[in-house]
Amino acid sequence: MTQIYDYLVVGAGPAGMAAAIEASHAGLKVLVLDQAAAAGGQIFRNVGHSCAAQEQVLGPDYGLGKPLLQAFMAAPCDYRPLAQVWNIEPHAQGFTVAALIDGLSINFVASDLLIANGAMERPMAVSGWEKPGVMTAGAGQILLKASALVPKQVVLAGSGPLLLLLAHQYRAAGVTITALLDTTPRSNYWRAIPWLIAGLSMPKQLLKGVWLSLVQRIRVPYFTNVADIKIVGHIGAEAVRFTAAGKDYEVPTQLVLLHQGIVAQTQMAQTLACELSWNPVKQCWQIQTTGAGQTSVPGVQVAGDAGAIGGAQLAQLEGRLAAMARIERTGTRSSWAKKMLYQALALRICQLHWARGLVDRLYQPAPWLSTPTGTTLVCRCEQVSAAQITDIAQSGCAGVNQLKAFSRAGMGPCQGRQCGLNLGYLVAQAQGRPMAQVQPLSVRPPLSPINLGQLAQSSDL
Amino acid sequence: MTASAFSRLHQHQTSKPDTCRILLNGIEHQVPVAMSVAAALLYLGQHVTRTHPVSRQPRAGLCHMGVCFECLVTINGQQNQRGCMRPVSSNMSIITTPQGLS
Amino acid sequence: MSLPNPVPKAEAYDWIVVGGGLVGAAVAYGLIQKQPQLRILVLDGDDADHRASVGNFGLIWVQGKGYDFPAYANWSLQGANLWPQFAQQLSQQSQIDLAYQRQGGLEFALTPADLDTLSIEMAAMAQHTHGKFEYQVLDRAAAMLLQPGLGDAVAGAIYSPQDGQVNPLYLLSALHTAMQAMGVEYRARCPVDQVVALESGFQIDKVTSKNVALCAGLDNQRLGLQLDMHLPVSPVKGQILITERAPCGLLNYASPQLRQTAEGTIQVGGSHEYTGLDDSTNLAVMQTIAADAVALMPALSQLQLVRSWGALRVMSPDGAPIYQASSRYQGAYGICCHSGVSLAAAHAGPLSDWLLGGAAPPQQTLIEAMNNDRFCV
Repeated sequence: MTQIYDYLVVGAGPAGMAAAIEASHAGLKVLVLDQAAAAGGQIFRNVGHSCAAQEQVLGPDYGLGKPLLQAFMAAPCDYRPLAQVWNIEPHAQGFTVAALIDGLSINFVASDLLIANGAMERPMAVSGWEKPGVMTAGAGQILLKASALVPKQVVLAGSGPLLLLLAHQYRAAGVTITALLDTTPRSNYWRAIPWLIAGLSMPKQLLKGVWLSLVQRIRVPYFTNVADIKIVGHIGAEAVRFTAAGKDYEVPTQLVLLHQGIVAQTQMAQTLACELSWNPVKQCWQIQTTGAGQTSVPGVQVAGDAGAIGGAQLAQLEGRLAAMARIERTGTRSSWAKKMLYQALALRICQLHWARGLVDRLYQPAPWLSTPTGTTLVCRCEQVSAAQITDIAQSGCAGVNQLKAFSRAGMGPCQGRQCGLNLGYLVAQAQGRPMAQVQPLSVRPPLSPINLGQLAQSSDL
Repeated sequence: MTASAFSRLHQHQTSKPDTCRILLNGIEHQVPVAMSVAAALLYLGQHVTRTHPVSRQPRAGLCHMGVCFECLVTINGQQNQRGCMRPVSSNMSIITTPQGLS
Repeated sequence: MSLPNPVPKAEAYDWIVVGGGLVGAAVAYGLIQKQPQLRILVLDGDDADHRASVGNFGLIWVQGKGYDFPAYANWSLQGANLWPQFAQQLSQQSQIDLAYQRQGGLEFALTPADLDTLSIEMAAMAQHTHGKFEYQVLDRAAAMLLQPGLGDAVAGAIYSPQDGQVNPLYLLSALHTAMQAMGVEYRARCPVDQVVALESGFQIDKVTSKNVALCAGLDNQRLGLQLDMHLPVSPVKGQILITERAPCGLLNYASPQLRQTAEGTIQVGGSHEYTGLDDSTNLAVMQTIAADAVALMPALSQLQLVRSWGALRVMSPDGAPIYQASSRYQGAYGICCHSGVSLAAAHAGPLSDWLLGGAAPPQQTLIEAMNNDRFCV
């Protein structure tokens, strides 16, 4: 007979770990599926095996993941690392989650799901971004955390806290930062001013991040209000061209790291037909939730950056709150103290999201980056340019899904993760419609790669 | 392959200081264990991971977290595996040049 | 919510085509080509609607179609024979390469009994078409000669040189491009709730027309009733898997089980499920499709799955098209069919002639044999 879990958590980042700890200690049968080799998510990646030099460069916030990881590893839950969830669908007793583990596709069944697979970086489609030698700032940080690899020299481009934090970390590691190209539009600063007070109530670590970011300006060659970034080179990147304050520049570099904030990974929730809505402040699709991460589909919750982007601390709190709500539904009467804690957590989560308003407004993506033009590739997998997309959108196509059918954009192996948002922006622009009306790309399984042989032989747990 | 654009942190010491033997395009290398295949390629100065099936242009990993599908390589005979999602292991064979498929 | 394009009051058209999928687009394209002065409006639904046109397999298929229905057998063959010229003209007009190929098709049989059943059907088709339908029954060895690499499970196959394939998405895109270039007005996101029959002509929302062609897929059943037409169509779900690109030439022929696209990807399909309007994929069916594909051709097992989807076929009770003229409301037509790709050339050609009242008598007889009388007791 199939084993049925009470709570299946996808993702072992701060949200997933916190939820699993809470739920398993309350006696629920919990399974955590995580794609990485070690728990921690992107933020606490490799925190269990990092060395002193890495910790020194990455700063004290990274170390905050250690006690969480220890508590997770000690929690009475099943945990499967290197498990690639490729399909989720309804099952008579809840949900079937199919994951590829060590080359075998295994179907797990659970009555309730928590989607906590985090976020990805907002794609930054600039001319030449497909060249070798162009990566994301997140990739740079992953290489630092997981492999202690740092570049010898780099140009950083874009906007957002992660880009600035990475600049700080790279400087601490002795990396030559040839230039930092800040694409934050000047108007964002004005827009953010009313949120300064909210920002002041951010957690200390975040405030420090903001401070550090200001410091970068005097410590590295820093260009503001940067536009028209083009990465040029014969095979790989050789230089980056851009304009700043009305002047054209060309900076030679073999490595460019791009970043413009992060967006939630909504694909899993979409396969379960959870409702999404457009968040105009965060400029991304977001899974609709009511209290404690409950999505529109009964039995499916979301926590952490997979829901509303909020960072590690919020993710941890949301994971815990979601688990508490799940425990509540087993019928166990919670103690008075638990109920108080629940309320306090919920309040703190609201407060932290409010405080985040500053960052969200300050680092909204520059419009020129959302609506690329000309030969700039929008869909890297199928090699579809911005001009091709705009042409089809202007001929009055029904929306992004028809656009995908007509252009192949979004049909490649990344399944529209790198182009989906920009397809939406380009359709909205060409057809004069607000983003909220342009639906997101439909998600088609598999959520991660599986071959026909593996699919043919998939089996129940 | 060229000189790597990446190097390891100064004074880097891991709890697992071992290296393992891998075959990259048939040539033997030693790389630190626990690195992802994609990281190991950068470490070895292999800055191109595949030839793009449509444009026939060279490509390399963008995100290193499993969402861009640009670091697809052949691992132990299995084509089009995301290098960033697989830790290197002893005697692993990695092929970056596509064999007609991608 | 307002319409995307503000509509002036009482716009008058010669034709409104309800539905901008393969059937509606082919009809609109056919009409405007035959009479360029016509004012034609195509009303299309939402991006997220059920769209058989973007979920189908891309075959231009003759084998087996209408083995128990002579008119359909002849119509399918005629449709496939019209395709080469249609493809050439359409790609020229739209500047879109349709990836049309008529290299022939194979239908694989996994048991000798299946092969026998198929052979009987083919013989019937040949008889209905007076020998114009060409085919060969291949035993395992003969099938292997045409398509190396077949699995042990394959008992044989039917080969017909008249089958072919196309990129169905580019076909739809090309029809949209070409019809608009010739003056058809296309409006997306205009779902049609009600077609009102006027004293003469029809009204939809604020738009009027002399004629209306219902090409709305599964919605034809509902809309047909408004114009006193019985159009009994129901959804039959098909799930399709598509792999990463494989070396071109891995598959030499199209088949309903496996097709290699011009890009190199392998399409694997498709199931026949009666699940109402649910078009989601599910694991058990995907697994069966994958297992069948690997049984047909073991080398496919290494190919990564890139995408899978479910789509709803628009099926009449006997699987053949329904071409219906409303007997009560002159100028109202219902066009229902599952084979929007195979019959695209026929729809843009003889069917459009028929809609305009100018079909040659034999064509007229053929088309009118496919009206809904066959479902009325």
